[in-house]
Amino acid sequence: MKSMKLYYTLIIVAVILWSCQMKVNDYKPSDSTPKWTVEGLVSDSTDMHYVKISKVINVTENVPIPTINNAQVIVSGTDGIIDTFKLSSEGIYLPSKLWKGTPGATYNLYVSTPDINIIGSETMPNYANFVIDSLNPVFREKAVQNRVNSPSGPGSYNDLFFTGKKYIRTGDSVFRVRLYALKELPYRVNVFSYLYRNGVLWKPNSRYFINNLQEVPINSFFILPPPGDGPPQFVHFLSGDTVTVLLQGITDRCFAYYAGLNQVLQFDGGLFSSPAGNPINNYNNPNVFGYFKVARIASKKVVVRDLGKQ
Amino acid sequence: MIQIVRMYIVLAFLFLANLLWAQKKYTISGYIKDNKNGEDLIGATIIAVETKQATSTNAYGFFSLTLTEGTYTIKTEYVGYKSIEKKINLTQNITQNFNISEEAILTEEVLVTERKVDANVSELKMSKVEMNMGQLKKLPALFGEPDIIKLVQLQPGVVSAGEGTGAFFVRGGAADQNLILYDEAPVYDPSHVGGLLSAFNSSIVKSSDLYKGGIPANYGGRLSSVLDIRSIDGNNRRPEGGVSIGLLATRANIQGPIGPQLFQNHRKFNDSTGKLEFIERAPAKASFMLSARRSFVGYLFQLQPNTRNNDVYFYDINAKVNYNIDAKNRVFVSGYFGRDVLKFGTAFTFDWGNSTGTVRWNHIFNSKLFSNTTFIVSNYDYSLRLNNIFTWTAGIFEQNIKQDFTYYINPKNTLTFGANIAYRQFQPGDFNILIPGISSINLQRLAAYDNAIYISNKQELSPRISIEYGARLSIFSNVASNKGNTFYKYEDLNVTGNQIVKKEQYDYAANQHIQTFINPEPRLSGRYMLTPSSSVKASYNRMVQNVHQIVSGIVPLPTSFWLPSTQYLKPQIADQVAGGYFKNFRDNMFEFSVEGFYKYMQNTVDFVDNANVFLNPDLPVYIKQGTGQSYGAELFLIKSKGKFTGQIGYTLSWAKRQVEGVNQNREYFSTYDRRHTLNIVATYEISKRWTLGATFTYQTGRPVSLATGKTQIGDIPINVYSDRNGYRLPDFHRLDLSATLKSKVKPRRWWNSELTFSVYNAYNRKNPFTLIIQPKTTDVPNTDGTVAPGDPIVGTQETEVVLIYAFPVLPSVSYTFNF
Repeated sequence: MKSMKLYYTLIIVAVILWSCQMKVNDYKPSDSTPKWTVEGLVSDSTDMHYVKISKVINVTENVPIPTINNAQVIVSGTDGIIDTFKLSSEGIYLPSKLWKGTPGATYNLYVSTPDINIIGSETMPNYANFVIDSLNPVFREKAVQNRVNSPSGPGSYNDLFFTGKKYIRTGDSVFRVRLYALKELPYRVNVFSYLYRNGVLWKPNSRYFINNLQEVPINSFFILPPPGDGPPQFVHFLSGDTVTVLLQGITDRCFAYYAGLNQVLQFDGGLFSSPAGNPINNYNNPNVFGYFKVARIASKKVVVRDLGKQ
Repeated sequence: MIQIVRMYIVLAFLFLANLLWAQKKYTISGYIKDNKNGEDLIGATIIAVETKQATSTNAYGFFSLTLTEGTYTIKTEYVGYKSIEKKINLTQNITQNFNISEEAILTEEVLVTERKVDANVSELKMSKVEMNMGQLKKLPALFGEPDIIKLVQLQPGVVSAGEGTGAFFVRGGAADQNLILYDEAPVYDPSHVGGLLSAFNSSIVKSSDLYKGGIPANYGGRLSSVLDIRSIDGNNRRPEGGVSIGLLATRANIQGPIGPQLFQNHRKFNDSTGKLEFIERAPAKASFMLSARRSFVGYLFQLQPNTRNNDVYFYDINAKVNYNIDAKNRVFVSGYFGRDVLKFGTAFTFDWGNSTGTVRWNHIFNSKLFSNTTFIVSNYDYSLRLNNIFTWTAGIFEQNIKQDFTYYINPKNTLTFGANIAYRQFQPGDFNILIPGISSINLQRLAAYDNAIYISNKQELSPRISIEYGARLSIFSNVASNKGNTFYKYEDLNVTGNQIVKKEQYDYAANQHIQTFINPEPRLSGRYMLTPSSSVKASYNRMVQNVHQIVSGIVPLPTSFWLPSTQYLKPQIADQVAGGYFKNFRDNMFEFSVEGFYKYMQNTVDFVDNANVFLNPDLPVYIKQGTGQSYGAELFLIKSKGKFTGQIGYTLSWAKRQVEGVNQNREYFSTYDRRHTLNIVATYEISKRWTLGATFTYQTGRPVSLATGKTQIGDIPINVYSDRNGYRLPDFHRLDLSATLKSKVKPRRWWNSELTFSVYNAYNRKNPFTLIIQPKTTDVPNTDGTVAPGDPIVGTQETEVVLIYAFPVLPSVSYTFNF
């Protein structure tokens, strides 16, 4: 009993010394925090342009992010494109006509509301042969967690693992999609990557996706990780699933922005770590968060077949 | 640059003109010492009463005064000490030492400040604060342990990093921009217990001077300040010592003569006065000082069976031997060894510490030329060990030889010059994984020579005008370590993350010269006496820094590490101008000053957002250098006499940075920016036995980078941040109180003691250490005990902001026994 008292005394002392804390009820955004978010995309695909405008709310608020629905949105390009986007749904503006961007052309995004006026500017990368050559599901014997033994070889592996139905029970055998993406490119290319399963954006495994990408030769894939933290979650693809890989070829600056965003999510600063900060975007207004992305598009689908052990 | 050269040519002519002004002159020189213990007195004044020509003792207690042939009344002046007047017939060069005694009558009313009486006004130096060691012992202290660094943090122009930290920032500079010297050896991590206490044992500190600007040419290597701490030499008359027991640490010290005096009886009872008095004896040629301090908090672990193998403690040992070889030669050997240990059984150990060693030789070539030769070693290292998993070690080691000369040309000119050669070895981090199959990370070791030469002349142009002008030349050379080095040129992506591209590789053989940075550092200061009790002063200095502490957060931790200037980390350079008005009132009872300063810094170090700086071999990608500026005004009022003594310091200041790649290239407030700082220090002697002390400090909140907004990219919630350091923490303020009870004075009592009661944070202010944003927690416990207050609320993405603070109200008591 005496030792328990001492134990509690030590705990109390430790708490007093190191863990004094209290909730703050009047925490308000500072004046220097961006107040609006503008995401834009212009691509060399006719059906992939949009602008999304919303507000930034207090970090402690728990309300849906308010959208801006009264903005004037204009995209113009050095290739002669000029289009006033129309409000399509809450905060989302789409082109008023069909057009596609031109590699090498520079595009400007003008957004005007009663509160803000912003200009974003970006040049579409002029990557040659921006296509996905093949997308092959490959059965893999080893468990996915064992990254030390990750495969290597010619081309660029994209370690997307999935399991045939009959292996889900044990979970120690997987398939791999071997993605020979852009293997002929002689230079570095920045790619923003999306992975879809049966037409739905496939997210839960994306953290793992990123980690492995650090090991691939072109080391330039990027996708936003899922919310929250913790170990990768493996959602297995089933035989018959359609897997779609969509790549957006982006600029160095754009890659830097999303890489920075990814770091903010993983590594939010703190007293004993480096300060976190908003990544540098391509808007002329410091009150605006988000990025005006101008990208080349490459896409490929594959249907997963249960190949059995190879 | 041309203007600077012109200025120096003019000053050189002035200097030569003085040299040519030759008459029949002789010099009186010697040391001024405390009669009680033989300690050298620094900054004591020697005056020729008839001509009012004067000089001061240097950092080793030596003086030299050259006068025309004649008879003079030589007088000593030192606050708290009796003046001595001696008739001198100066017909040849003579050596005359003075042993002066404390003013016994006034000791109850006069604080022994160990400084020149009117130093505030008459000294040429500005932006210099001499820590009052007597006052320190009477002030409230955290856990009852007086701490010199905590007193430094209460000076105008200085701010602390936060509650319970030993880091301090001077005039908008970073913590690593402070040169902290202990007996001339640099101390790279001046803290114990992560900053709760400084590495310096206050009971053996003789003097501690902080230079914030107008930094003399003999100092260099840091941009913002110099804190020069010197230990006592040891009593050469009789043994004395003491023991102090506090809640956090216990310390003991002993000092005395080396020789038969150590064992002789030193006291006798004087029947006529009814007091125990010291027997006057000749001083010994040698003396020693030994002091040790250790914390015993870790012993609490021993009381619990399952924590018996755990321990947390620190200790430090200071030792010094002082030997007067003859009238012209003295040798000092001084050492410091300190260590902190945090241990959880055999599983985890974290220890860190400094060790320094100084061998110093004072030689008087003649009555005008004083020489100090110093050999210094300094080491800082830390080690983390997780049993069977990893070991992590890092450190810095320095060897330095320094030669300083003081040449007393004539009463109007004192020339100081010298040189130093330092060799440093940097070990940024060896992370050895003990698990087979996993690679270790060993950051390459680096080495550098940091050499300098300097010259400076202090010149009295007229009774009203004095100037000091000089320069330091910093010569810094990278050399490859003894294993060779490899560097890379990185593709400048201006971004962190997964995109590190090495473009070129440079290989250097062992000890091969890599690069040299040469930087001149002009120094200039001047004083104009408006009246005998008031003056105006101005100064300019350029400082160069070639060692850089890599700190991931804003608070230096034991795991911070040092790097030399390289092609990726250019030398930091600061130019500072300062001006001020100084006034003493009521026979120097009150000292007042107001100073303005402007400091412009080049190549200040910062990191890109979210940088990962530890054990990162590609650190150059994350380091950015830019410009910084700080400016402000400091008001300072000291009352140094009477029963009520103290000081009030107020600072209004700005500190900004602009670094490409940080904060979207926009200017931002540095983390050292505090708009208002107010510090009040007071002691009041109620009676012969009771003294009250109080300190109050107020600082504008620290700027930090925090997530203050929230948005969505795609459908992923993302926190949105303020500008770099765009959010201000709540203001910091705190009141500490103390009461000291001295033991009764009894006729035959040979010892004395003090009992000090302290209350830290008297009104329980919750001063922010930081704010954190976390998932919302509940205040309501679940009846089945599965949910306790403070547990996260399940099923919500709501967040809350929590303020972390270090210390609530903390009472403490300490007991000190001296003989």
